[in-house]
Amino acid sequence: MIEITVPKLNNNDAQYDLVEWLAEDGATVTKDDDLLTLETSKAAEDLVSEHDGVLHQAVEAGEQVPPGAVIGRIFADAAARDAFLAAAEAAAATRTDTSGEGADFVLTAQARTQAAEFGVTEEELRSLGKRIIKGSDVEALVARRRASEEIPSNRLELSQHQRAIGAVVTESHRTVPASFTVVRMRVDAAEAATKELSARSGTAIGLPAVLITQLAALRAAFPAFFATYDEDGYALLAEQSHVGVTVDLGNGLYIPVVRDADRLSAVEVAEQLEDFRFSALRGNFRGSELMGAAITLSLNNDEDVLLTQPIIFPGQTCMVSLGGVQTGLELAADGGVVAARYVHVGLAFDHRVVNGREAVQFLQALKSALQAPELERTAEPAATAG
Amino acid sequence: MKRNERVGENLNQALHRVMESHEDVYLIGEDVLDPYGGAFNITKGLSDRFADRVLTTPISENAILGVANGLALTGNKPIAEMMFGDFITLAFDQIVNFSAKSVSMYGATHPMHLVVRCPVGGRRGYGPTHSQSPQKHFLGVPDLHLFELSPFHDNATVLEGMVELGKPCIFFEDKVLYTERRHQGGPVGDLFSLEFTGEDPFPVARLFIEDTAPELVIVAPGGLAQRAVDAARELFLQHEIACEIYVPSALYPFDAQLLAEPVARAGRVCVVEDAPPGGSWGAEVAHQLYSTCWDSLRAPVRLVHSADSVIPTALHLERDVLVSSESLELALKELAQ
Repeated sequence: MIEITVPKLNNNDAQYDLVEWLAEDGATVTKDDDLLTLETSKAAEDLVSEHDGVLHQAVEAGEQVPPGAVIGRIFADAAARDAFLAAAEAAAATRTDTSGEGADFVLTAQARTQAAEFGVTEEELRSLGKRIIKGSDVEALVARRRASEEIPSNRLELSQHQRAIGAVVTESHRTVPASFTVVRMRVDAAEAATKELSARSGTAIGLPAVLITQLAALRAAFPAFFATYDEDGYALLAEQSHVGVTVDLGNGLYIPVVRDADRLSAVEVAEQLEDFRFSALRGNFRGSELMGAAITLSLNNDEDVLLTQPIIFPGQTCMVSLGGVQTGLELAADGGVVAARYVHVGLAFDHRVVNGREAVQFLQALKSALQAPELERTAEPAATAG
Repeated sequence: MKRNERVGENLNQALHRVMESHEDVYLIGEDVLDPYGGAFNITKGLSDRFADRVLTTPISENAILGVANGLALTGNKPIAEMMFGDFITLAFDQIVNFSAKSVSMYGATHPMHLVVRCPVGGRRGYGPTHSQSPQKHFLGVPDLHLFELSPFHDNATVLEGMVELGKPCIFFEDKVLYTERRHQGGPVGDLFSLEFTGEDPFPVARLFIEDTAPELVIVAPGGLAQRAVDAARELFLQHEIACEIYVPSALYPFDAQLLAEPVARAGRVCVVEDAPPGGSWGAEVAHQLYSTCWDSLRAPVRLVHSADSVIPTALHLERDVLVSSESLELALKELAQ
């Protein structure tokens, strides 16, 4: 078999026109027979056969062909031509699914690299329905494929922060035998006092700030409530009234610590709470701000919340929870009916350290303090050494 | 690929059509008679059909334009051919001092229907005096209009437009284009879509990649169009930097208004031409873009020219002097950063 290639006819053209075939496909030709006409930008030229044999046309008339291209073949006889065509047909059939030739799209270098890396097939690329495929298109295709293959659509990935919270709650339930008591406390007086103080100090003061100061002050009378249970049968008493407080503004639950809350005024505590809220919004608490609490206050004082039963932080013996403020009617001492504002304050306690009776006493003390708040407390010199 | 007509064939057919439809169109130039039909075969067949209106001349560019000016002044529509655009300097006086001024210097507007055809550009190894791009020498002459041949525009429309303009026109024809296939519809290569913007008979060809916001705008006259397409194709396939290419038919006066919005959107623009640097068409376009898009430009307008050099004859030396798709690609890559 002899290949017919396009000769170089001039220097100006990269392609010539194959104007027409002068011998028919499958015809028997002899040496020096005219085979075809090529046309350059300058002239038309006929190509003659250099051999005797049977012609096979590989390119149709009207096509453009570059110098060197194979445009036809001359076979010894018709049988040789038929055998060649059959073989070529078979080869073409096996090639169709893998060959990228004749693809109806263009890949950028990035797209080609991505497709190779993730084993994206030509069929998948074609399914994009795009003529020009970029790296980002393949990326999106791979992402869709991964999403549909590996992750069920109802699966939500939990953040690191949420997983840490889960671990603490699980640890609490596993290790702390907790009990729980709730007391109802009137807050009319505290609300009036905070309103008046807010106006005077220019700082917005709420019940949480008041409760934190009152809570911190109870450490002297109730040291076991500010302690760490020790497996050997001891409770290690805290030496400072550091009060942890829950803050959650939608970016995860944090428990920053108001340090030495027994020496702070309600105004100072309110200012710290304000700072905590900013840090919680931005998620930029320092590690030290979140450590060292002796007791924790769980704030659940949204409207309509009666009370939330808190867990007990492993390493502490109590967590106090504050519910939302309720309005109701009460019988006054003179038998009349008055409107009353009140909250439910709950106490979850480690039964290895504290019992129910003490828990009630603790809550009653808190109630007395809350109902006659002493908001003007100024920082006193440390009552205890250390 | 099925064959499209060559740009030169299209231009030849355009000349046939315009001579057929206008009895006052004359063609004048060196060796334009059949069977030679001009040095690039562009006037092939014209003298056989319109023997009394195709005038062949000796080597005498100044006289060719003198005769053409006389024909135009008396109400005819001459088309003059410079065998090589380089020789137009010999007719500079007739064009600048007579053709252009005749439109207005006689007190009332006097239409001058004159077209001067100039094969220009290199990449053929024709050397320093047969390869130049002299467009810049004719910029800023009142009433003188400059146009350039492109593989996208239909020359029947462009030629008719120039013949009917009533102001003298110079048509710069990159000689490499004559043997190239004319683009007729459909995508340009495997990447670019083509549409026209602006008004007939001299719209601007716009080549763009569908569904992709361009980071660069390239302004390239017809002779540079293919090199711009090749450079932009590589830039996109290798680096995913998308370019939008504008190929104007009218070079001067140039209206940058059409480019203002796309250039402002991309913030980066490159103007490419075959002339050496200094007082060039690209500088004129850049000035207009600075005026209209100053606040939106994220980088200085990039000009790409040939080297500041005569054009060597040896092909390998000529290649280093003229703009190539590779040198253009490099400049575009720098501009994109």
